[in-house]
Amino acid sequence: MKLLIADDEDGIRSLVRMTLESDRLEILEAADGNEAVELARAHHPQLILLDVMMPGISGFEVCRTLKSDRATAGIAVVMLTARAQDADREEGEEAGADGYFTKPFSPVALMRKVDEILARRGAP
Amino acid sequence: MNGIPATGAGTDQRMNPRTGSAVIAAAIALGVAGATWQAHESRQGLRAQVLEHSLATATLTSAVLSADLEGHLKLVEAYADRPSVVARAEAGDWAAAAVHLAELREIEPGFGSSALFDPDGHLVARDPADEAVLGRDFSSRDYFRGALAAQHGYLSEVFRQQGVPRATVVAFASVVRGPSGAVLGVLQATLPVEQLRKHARAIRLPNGGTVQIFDGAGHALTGPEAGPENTFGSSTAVARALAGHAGGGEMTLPGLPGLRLGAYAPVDPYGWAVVVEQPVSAAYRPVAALTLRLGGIGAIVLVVGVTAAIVTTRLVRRLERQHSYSAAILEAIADGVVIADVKGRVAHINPAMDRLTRLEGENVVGYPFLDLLVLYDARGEPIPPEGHILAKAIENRAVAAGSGHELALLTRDGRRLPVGITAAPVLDENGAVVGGVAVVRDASYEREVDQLKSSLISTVSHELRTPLTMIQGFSQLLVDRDLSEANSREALRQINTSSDRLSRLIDDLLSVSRIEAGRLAVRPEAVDVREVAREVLASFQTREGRELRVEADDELPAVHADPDMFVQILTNLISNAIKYSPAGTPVSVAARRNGPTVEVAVEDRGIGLSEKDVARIFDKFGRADRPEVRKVSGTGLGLYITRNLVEMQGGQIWVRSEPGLGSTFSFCLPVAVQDRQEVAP
Repeated sequence: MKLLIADDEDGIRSLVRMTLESDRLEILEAADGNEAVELARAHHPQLILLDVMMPGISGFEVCRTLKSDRATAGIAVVMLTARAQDADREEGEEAGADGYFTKPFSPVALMRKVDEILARRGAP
Repeated sequence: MNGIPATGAGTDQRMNPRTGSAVIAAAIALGVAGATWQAHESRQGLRAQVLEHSLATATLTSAVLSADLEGHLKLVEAYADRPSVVARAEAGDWAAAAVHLAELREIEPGFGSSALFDPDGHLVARDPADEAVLGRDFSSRDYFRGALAAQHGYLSEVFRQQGVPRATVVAFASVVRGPSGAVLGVLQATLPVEQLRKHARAIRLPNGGTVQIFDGAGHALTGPEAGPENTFGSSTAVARALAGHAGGGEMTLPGLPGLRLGAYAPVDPYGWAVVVEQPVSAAYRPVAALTLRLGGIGAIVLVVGVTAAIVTTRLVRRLERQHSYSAAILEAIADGVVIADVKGRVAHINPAMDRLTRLEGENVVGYPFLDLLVLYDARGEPIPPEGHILAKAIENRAVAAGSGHELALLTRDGRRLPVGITAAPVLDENGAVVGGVAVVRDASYEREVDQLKSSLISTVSHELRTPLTMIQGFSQLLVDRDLSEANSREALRQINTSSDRLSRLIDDLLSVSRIEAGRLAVRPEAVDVREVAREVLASFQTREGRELRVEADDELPAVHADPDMFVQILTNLISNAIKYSPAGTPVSVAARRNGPTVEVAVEDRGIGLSEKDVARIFDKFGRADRPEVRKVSGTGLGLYITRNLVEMQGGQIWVRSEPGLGSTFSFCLPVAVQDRQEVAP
């Protein structure tokens, strides 16, 4: 399975990679929104971890873009953000996100969440 | 005070000072006129009184005098008619006739002398006897001729007697007639005028008034000019009285000074005159006194009145000015002011309130303030009447306030304007509530700041949480997992970096906090720019693979700066230069002297700044809003802090930049004191 992490902070990407990378799960990295969309369309990951605050197009934009594209609409999108405001959550829901994760997050929690979502999707 | 008067454009209730003055002036004028009239009336009345009184006196005196004169004349007439006197006169027995003369004088002791004259006027008998005058011819005398002319009794003029007693007298003479009617002689008796003067003294007159008696020829019997030598002169009054008229008024009298006021009456049937007079000034003295008193009172009234008028006018003007002043203050206040009465109706609003609610001159005076001040709470729900700030202030007699962060006011054009309101009750001098006043403040700026703060807080929290996530995350991995060596090193590196980052951010935030609280202390020393620049660059050198260099003269003087702050400034600028320029591009620090300052320029070949960026770059959270900038982590506080540090040390900071080409951040600081002597003007 493939998982795309889109975050402008290389440390976050590195953390996600280290936490989740395994024989079963390939980690793809995108440093900004455009790259994220490109990679999503190219590789069709099962899950995208999407940082909300990114340069260029925001995470919400990316989510909307992917969700409105039939080819990528099936991808599970989990928003990552340090902001915990209701407004963000609502916007996330409106954008079609499947979940919300606030930073700081523990890698363990992240793992569980990812497993859960992927299990729902069904392992290939 | 029964409440707040409604004041507005049309209901000006100020007192007109001119009206007040006019009223007072009229009152004074009336008073003075009244006093004058009263005085005049009094004078007239007094004159009338004096005249009446004088006339009465004159008439009475003349009647009494007349009676007295008549009595004397009748006596003399009677004696002249006595048969014995006639017989003796006929016989020419004057000596025997003289007995009767003595008799006459016994009956009337007032007579000073009595005498008999033959038909030719020779004095033939006399009592008291006087040899000097016996036999002399007195035929030319008034009394002799008069008696002869009167054919009976005659009252003579005043004359000076030649015989004893030598006195000023009047004579009563009567012919002695024989049975055939032939004149046998004249009998005469003299009365010293002194005897008649008693009539003048009989009635005591006020004000130094006198009674003057004049004989038929106008000789005064009384007064300083009494005697046969003087006549009444030009006194019209006397003339009229002698002519038989009675009357009165202002007059002059012989021997008496000034104008007199009095009356005159004839003494009938003798053609004599009696004048009762007093000096005019004395006559009017009571009036004068009254006038003086009235005048005095009038003057006092005038002075008081004028003073009152001036004071009132000044007071009214001052009240007007105060009123105008208060009104001017109200109009000038930039926040909206609403004044309501105790029943909740609008009494007054100021122009600022009109502007806030977009009334555009609409009149709201008299309408409920609840209609004017429609408020919404933080959730956008309308606030009910009992919760209304102004209502609460009036109700509870206490100040009530609503925060600018929560309240919104409905404007006439349907917008919801964020406002802060402070309301207070208005109390009269007894402490009773007569209304309320609300000050309404446009809180749009506060709301903006609120929003800015929220977004800043989220930015800052994001900045804080990102490194924290990494520190926690990687630590957990290191603890829980059996990471490969490569991964372990990576994890530790990330932890390290993030810790630094977190640390710097916290420092920055604390600096900002201290700067804002004014609690950063500058401790200046002489700082060697070249030395410090090299050290700072060196600290960056270890982590970067790019060219970092210092350019400075040997003769570069030291700067007057706080060493720690100087280090921080350089660190910030160099860090930025590195952050915002591609790897491998050089960063240089150039220092040179410029007059009394040293200029330090940090140059990079990085992403550069647009004009818009330059304007905001030194502000708090004034990060350039571009993807290349956002990509790089930063708080937006660095340059704000740097600017403050530079300015606190008496320097200045600025930037020259070209987007895509690079930036040069420069700052200057004053040359250290001991080196300033070298400054060439």
